Amino acid sequence: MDTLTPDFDAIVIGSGISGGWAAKEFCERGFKTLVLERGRQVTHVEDYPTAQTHPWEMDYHGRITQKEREDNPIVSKCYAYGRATEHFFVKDHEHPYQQDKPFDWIRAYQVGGKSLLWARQVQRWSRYEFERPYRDGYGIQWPIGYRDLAPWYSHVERFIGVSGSKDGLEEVPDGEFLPAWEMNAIEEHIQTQINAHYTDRTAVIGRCAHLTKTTDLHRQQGRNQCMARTRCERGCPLGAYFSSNASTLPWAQKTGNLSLKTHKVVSKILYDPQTQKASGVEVIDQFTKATERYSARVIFVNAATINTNAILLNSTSERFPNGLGNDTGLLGRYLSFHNYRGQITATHHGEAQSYYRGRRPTSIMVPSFRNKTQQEADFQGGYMMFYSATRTDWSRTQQGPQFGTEFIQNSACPGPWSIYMMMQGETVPRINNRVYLTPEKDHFGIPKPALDVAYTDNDEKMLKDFLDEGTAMLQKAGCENINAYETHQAPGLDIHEMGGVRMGANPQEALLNGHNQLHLCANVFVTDGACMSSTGVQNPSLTFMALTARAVDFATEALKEGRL
Amino acid sequence: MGFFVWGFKMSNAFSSFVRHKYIPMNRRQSLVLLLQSSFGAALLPQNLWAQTSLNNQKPDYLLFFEAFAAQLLGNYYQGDTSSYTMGVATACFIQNCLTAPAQNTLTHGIEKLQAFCQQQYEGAFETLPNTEQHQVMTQLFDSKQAVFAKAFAFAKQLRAIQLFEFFNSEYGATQVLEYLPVPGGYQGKIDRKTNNRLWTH
Repeated sequence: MDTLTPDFDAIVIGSGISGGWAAKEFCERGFKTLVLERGRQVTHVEDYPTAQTHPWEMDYHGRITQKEREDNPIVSKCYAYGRATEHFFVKDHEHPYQQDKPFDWIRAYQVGGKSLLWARQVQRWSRYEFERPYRDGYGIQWPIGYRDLAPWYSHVERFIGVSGSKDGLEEVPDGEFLPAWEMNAIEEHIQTQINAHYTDRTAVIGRCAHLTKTTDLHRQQGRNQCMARTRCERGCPLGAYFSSNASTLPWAQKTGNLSLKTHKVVSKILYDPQTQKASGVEVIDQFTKATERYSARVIFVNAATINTNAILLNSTSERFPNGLGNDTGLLGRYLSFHNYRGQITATHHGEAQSYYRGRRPTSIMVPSFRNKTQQEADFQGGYMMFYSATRTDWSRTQQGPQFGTEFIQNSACPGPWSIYMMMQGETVPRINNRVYLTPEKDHFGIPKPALDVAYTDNDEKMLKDFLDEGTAMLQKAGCENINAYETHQAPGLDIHEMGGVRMGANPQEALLNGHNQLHLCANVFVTDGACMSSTGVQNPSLTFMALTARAVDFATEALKEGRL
Repeated sequence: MGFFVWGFKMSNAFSSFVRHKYIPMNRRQSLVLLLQSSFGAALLPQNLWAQTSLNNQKPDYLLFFEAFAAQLLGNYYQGDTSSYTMGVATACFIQNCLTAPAQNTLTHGIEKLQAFCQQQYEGAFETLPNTEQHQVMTQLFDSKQAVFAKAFAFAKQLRAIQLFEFFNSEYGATQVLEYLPVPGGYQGKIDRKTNNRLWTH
């Protein structure tokens, strides 16, 4: 039985990193906003049960058991999954999906979504990210450029708090930064050697959404300075890193304009052929399984890339039999991700007397240096590198006694320097990489999504280039025992899935216009990863947030002027 | 056949006891605690091993693990000859956190080592005097005796498990390492002379 509900100005589907931003921006502007979240409530601080738990207070000191690993072969691959964080992840059996090819889909169904679990690295896209796909012939032209988004990057950065250094690099534009984290001695040494040996690349400290210093705006959010605990994925009781839970949602709540409903699974967006707009959404209550409908003047879809695609694909009507706004059949296609398959480890025997104190939540980044102004490599797109140096711990191999008192004493001291380097590569959007719906339905009666996504030869060439270049850079920096290898990880484990509802000026080749608005249904906007026409090189979340803030600004102006 | 006797997940109460206290238990206390912690699983066939183990009818892995830990940790070992805390913690970790092949590797390794001890010293490892246990450990980890060390490669895995247990215990983390739950900030360059203990990162 349908439930009659009040109207809202805006409905936001999903409360994660972009959904939280949509809610904040709408509510701040005085618009009555309903946020629909399929998962449970996670209230900042009080629902972080392991935030202060010590290793000896957890079963197996935080390790998951073999049984748990076997029960969750996909999610247990995620670097952040463990005993202290498993309650924030969707278990494999809870929401199965079809893999036409291996795809590790990592999900977080709760208020805040993956904003509780993200890696918090935030770099602005440069003009090269926007221009390169079309310039080099592997993507469509983005309908916007860096200049369109720059003020919105600033808007977001001031609110969330981003640490970083002003490096003056065109390939990673500077932003509104809080003080940067320090490099340690070996990281600085490697940076110096890179600068000495190369003119096309450099290394700079990473930029992350952690408060190295608070401003009035952060204190108004009730957030505090980062204490370098790196227990982030458990939820930070200090609110020191940005999450929807610590920041945007409480901010929206304070306006009195926010309604947040949990345990509501959106099955489809309802289309009104008379107005040629969406009239609302249909949801299924997690507990009662009852169907409910909510109406609003504008709808933002921020359910995270794959679920956003799935909702639109399931939003069929007489006008749109293949999914909302999907006359071209492109909905769900050009699903992309980041190539994380290359890693390098090494040792360094310098700086023997130097050590560090505290746990830093970022690493050193080497911004993209391939195919910058034109395609010059044998692959398309770019990649960036991250590296860090740490002292090895008690698990290292060591000289001298191998057991007994002296062995334990030696084990308790910091060991030689260990270097870790990884790649983050752009993947080429391909029409055959897609999400689609299967006839099989889940326990809510909603069709299960299927993922048909694979690497290409381009990814292999990029991987090889990273392994060769990274090895050469570490050699020049005096590193030893260099071990470059491929992780063989499946797409998805990067947790940077993007596309399927891409932006583009031409409705024949894209679903969304330059304001993230469906070309064929003007009051539906998509501003999470699904909207991305290409993946770029940088970590994507900052761009999702900036696109969201920009789209809400457009939508609210249009609402005021009666254009929606 | 699985490696160990307890086909159950350690209960919170039990694991909490093991992790927090790291204090000695006598053998009967530890086994009774194991059985109590198994909830309804005590009737499972595997747990009969624990019952019979009380009567010394099966190889006693708890004693072996405890003796191994005592040699490994030296003066940092907090138990005594009738202590079973490290033994139980090691056993539970192996049972629940290792794959079946990894458990089998350990099983076969221990059986082989016990046979060696029986042959050379006329007793199981845990029954040998300290000096003889020390001799066996030296041979296990001495890189100069490569053939011997290779034959007992399992020992490094067992050592890694017990180091993990030890350095993640409250005693190991706070008294031996310098555990910093809230560092307060990050300093990239400090002199090792001012801070030469792990777990500042």
